[in-house]
Amino acid sequence: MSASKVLTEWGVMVEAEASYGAGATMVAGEDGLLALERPDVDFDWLHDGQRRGESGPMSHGIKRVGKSGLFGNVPLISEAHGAGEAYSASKVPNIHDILVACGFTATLTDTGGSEKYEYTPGAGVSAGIEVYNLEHKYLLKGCYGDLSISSDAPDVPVWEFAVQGLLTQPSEAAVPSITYPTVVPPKAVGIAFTLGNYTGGIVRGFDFALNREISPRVDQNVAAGHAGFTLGGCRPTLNMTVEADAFTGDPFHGADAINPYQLAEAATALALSFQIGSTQYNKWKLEASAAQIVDVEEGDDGPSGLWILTIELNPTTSGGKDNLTITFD
Amino acid sequence: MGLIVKTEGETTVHVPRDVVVKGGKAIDEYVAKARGPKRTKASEKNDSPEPNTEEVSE
Repeated sequence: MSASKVLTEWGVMVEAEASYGAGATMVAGEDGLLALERPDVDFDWLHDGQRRGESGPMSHGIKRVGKSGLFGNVPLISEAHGAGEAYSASKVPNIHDILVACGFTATLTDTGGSEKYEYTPGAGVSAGIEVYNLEHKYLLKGCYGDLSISSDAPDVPVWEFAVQGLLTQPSEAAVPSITYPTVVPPKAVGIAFTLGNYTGGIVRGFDFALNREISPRVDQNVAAGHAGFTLGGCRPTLNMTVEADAFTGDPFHGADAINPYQLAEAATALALSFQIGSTQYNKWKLEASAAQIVDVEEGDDGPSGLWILTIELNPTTSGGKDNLTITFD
Repeated sequence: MGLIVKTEGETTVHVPRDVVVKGGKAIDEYVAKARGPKRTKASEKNDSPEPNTEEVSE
């Protein structure tokens, strides 16, 4: 009797592809993404083999045909941190490649002493990903992802990348010896949340969603039936949970008072920002220039009244893509 | 596009993805080549107009 395959060890490596679907050559010392939760690869197909018909000669079912268009969905749960030293072409934030695969354009500013990476919505670059789990190796190519970031305590925010990619059948393999960065990720304390003039809020937590559209490409002209994915648009939204605060009059946002109901009704576009961490080369900031409150949900935490503010991060001009910037500096 | 590189006082360079995947050294070399050779005092001297040594006839 053979031993059971175990789930106690896993590993993930991510690397940008030179061209779409080309895959990537992984280097265990450079390409590791520390997955905090088990990266279970969910198998899916563009056609699952089911045939048409529900009644008549098919009333008791009908034998299927083979499946086509295999792809994988895998949630990669991680944390973000900086390079821990001056950014350069080779010194990047730990989530660089997977963030770019979520449809961000990366800009490196390498002016001495103020090096930084900025990520803005753009075309993105697909990634090749190797997932090791259940003593299997899952090879994914042409991967794109959606991004969410959340935190509900003074803790390290969780970055979740919901990845889709072309998948080949798994092979048996042990987890390679992956070297992960040693930089400790910054925590969500002293985040300096700013919405317009409002800076004095008591922030209970936040939940950012990029809401990136990823569209599969059926291809009858290839044996696999699947040509990969296309990145579509995004609708970045931030849910900010703050303690209900004092109202203020027009323009409805002051240093220590805010009226989100009026701001939502007026669709006032405000500058928004918050920052995680304070140490150079190991902090990141999310900024938006046209943040609009679209909904105010009233909640509670014991006797404390809360507002869950649903904030859309929209482009500053029609047709623009400057919804937000994530800066590592 | 793979990466945009900005440096104060220098031209912004758009590095294609096939170069980006080769790593930091390849990116640095691409950026340096795109920006051209750095100007030195010697090259600036060479750019200055030749002094007019012709004698002017009265």
